[in-house]
Amino acid sequence: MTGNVPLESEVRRLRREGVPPALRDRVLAAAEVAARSTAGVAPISSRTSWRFAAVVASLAMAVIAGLWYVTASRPPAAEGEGRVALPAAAAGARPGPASPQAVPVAGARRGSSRPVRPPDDDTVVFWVDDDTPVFVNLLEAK
Amino acid sequence: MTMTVGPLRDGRERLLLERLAAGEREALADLYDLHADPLFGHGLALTRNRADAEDLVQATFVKLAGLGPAAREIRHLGRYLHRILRSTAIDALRRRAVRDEFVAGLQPVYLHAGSRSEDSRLALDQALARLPLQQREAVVLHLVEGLSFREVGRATGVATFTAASRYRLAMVRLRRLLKTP
Repeated sequence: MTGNVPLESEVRRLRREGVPPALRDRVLAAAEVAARSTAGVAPISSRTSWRFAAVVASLAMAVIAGLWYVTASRPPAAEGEGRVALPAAAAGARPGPASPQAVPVAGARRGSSRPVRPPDDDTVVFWVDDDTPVFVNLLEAK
Repeated sequence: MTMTVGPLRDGRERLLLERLAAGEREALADLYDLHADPLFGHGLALTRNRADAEDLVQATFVKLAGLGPAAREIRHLGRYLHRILRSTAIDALRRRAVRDEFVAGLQPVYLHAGSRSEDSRLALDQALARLPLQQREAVVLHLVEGLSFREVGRATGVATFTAASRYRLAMVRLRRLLKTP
């Protein structure tokens, strides 16, 4: 390439132009703008997450308050209520020994290994307490 | 021009980073004066284009300025800046079409101060442009910018051995391209 001068020396003698002087001002101005635009301002993602968390917390508090109000304003539950959800057709039925539709089942216990089976598909099992199941025929219930 | 980081320069950089983290904008100007030159050379080696190299230097210092208090966490500023510049350049090159790189590759970037002829300077410059990017980067950082292989490795995110290997492969290829012994 250039006689006997080693290639490494040739490359080492390459000298690029220095950094353009105008670049310094340009870089510092751009950095100043960038730094000013971010100074004292939380990152967008951070701000967004804080807002999201605040909204979620408000909604959660509103739901909790609503549930508390509904629970507190509900009248006290009657004896046996809530153990079995009867269909609307049987809502008027009052199971028990006085009810002609209620048939006591002797010797049964709630949760035992021997299930209490109603005699047909129109009849459901209603537990007065853990030892007292009765059959209620939904078609006959009034 | 070297990127050698001795205790004095290291201590000065630490102070400047502390000032930058505290919001003193003048510290950025001093850091620019310390590092802009080798960064510009690195940018030229990667892009073969002066305008692109200037943009890379600007993007690098804008990122540094945007760190704010996190600037205190930087342990090796030179290495950090070279890596920022390199990743920015690689991203830009990936987005760019092949024909753009070809055009940029034809631009003579380096001045051959001691060359015996314009032809030899152009031949060397164009042979450098034909090297793979990583090999060209290793040659320019080592021979032109004066970085040791260890520093080249740290600036480019590879082991010292890998940096030296890239350099050796590049020199073999350059000799073949220039048909020199």
